[in-house]
This record gives sequence, structure tokens and C-alpha cells, in this order.
Amino acid sequence: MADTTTEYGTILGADSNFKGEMSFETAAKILGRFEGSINAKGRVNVADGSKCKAAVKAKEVSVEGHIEGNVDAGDRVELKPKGSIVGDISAARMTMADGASIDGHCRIGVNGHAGKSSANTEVKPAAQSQQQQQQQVAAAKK
Amino acid sequence: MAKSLQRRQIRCYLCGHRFEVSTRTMSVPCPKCNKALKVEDILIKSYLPVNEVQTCGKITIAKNGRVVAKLIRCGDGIECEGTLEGAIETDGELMLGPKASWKGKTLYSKSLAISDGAKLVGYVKVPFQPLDEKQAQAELLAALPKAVTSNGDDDGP
Repeated sequence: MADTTTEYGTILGADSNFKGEMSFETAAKILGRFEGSINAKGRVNVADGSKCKAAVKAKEVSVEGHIEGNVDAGDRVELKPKGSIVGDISAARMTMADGASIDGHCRIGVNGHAGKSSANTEVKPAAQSQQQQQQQVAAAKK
Repeated sequence: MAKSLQRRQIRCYLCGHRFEVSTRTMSVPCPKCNKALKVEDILIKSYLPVNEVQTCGKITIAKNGRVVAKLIRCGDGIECEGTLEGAIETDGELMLGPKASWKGKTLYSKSLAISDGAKLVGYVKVPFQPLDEKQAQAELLAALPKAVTSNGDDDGP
């Protein structure tokens, strides 16, 4: 098993209660209570028993505890069996274990993750060709 | 030859009533609301544009399958390798394969399994506890306007 201290550059202890804004360059593990916002370039792990009332923005977010707030992951969101998220989730990929819970709007794997979807503006090729045919018929009649 | 007595419990997707049927049953009227219920499993291999897809069984969407519906409701869960569009309500598990996608207003499911590469856009509530018969009735009664008091007097001025 990998040593927690080497895997995570920052660890917020189980008895800690933090309010404010935090940003990390590498990986962070949250064991206590956090309120505010988290901004990380690496991985954020919300451990079992911890509670985060925060907007979390990171490359990878792993949830074993509880997050109340929006989660925005550049790469992936991983929900472990006891993990729960109440808020909107935006990520390129997501895995969810049995027992985990989600309550919020999800946007997974759609053009990266940052809501740049072109799905709603998609034009069906069949409809296009029908229009072209109709135009050709109308021109021929004239 | 002895008849098979294997039975399974289903829940009416319209009124929430739970009852038992034979495992071979394909459709049955609900003893409570008398509405016809589909019990068989559904396999979708191609494009299916409909208003509603409802069954007490399982819905499977194959690789080239595409369902566009207002409401997709089933009892035994959904296995999707293709495309799903519309609100989903299932008492079972929703499994999205690596090339599967779902887009809709709401997704209510007991559990959710998402493979790497699957796409998902919409409001998700997992786990979702469907309303039982009594709860549904209680909610219905609560939604009704308050009954007039026995002497017909109103509290207002």
C-alpha cells in the first residue's frame, strides 16, 4: 500500500475544521471538515468520514466522504461506496461504486467537461438531405 | 408434467402496488389500478422514437440502439450500450457501457454504474427510493385541498 504522506502533499487532519479557500499544486487529502472552496491542479481525496461544504475544482476528485457543493474535475471523479455528492458534477470521466450517492446535475464526458457541448445544436444529416431534395424539386418545378 | 411455480414480485409503475406474478408473465393488469402493465424484458437494437417505454422487467439497449422518449421507466434496471434520451426512472440499476450516453431531464435510479467513456448529461438522483403505495396515497391526500370542517364553518373573517 502506498504511504499516504508521500502520495498526498497536503493532508487536512481528521480533527481539523477549516473555513476558507484552499489551493494545492499537487495532491491533497481531506480527513476533517472543510467549508469554502478548493482549487487543486492535482488530485483531491475527500476521505471517509470527512465533510466538505465546498466548491471543488481539481484534476481528479476522489470521494469517500460527503461533498456539498459543485465538483468540477478536469479528468475524473471517482465515487467510492460511502461517497456522496450533493451538487453539480462536471467531469470528463466518472466512476461510481455501488452504495455511492449523487444528487445534482451531472455533465460527464461531453466535450471535455466544461459545458461546451454542441449536442443541442446538432443538425441531423437526414434532415439536411431532405431539405436539399425539397429545394431541388422546387427549383425543377420553376 | 408438473407446472413451474416460480414467481416474482413486481411493482406497478403506475400506482406503486406490489404483487406477485409468474416468471413467464409478459403482461398483466395491476390488481390495484387495473391498468395494463408490461412485465417482459425489452431489447432495443435500433432507433426507437416513442413517448414512453415502460416495463416491470429490464430494458437493454444494444450498441446500435437509440431510444428517444419522454419517459423511460422500468423495474429491473437498464443496461445501455447505445444512446438514451429522456427521463429515466428505474427501481434497479442503470449500467452505462463505455460507448453509452444518456441525455435527459432527470435520472432516478437505485444505483448507477458508469463505465469509463460513457456520457451523462442531466439531473441525477441516486439512490432513489420509489414511493410505496401508502406513501403515494398519503402524498395524494396531502396535495388535496383541506376538507371543509364538519360544521362547514371557515376560519377566515
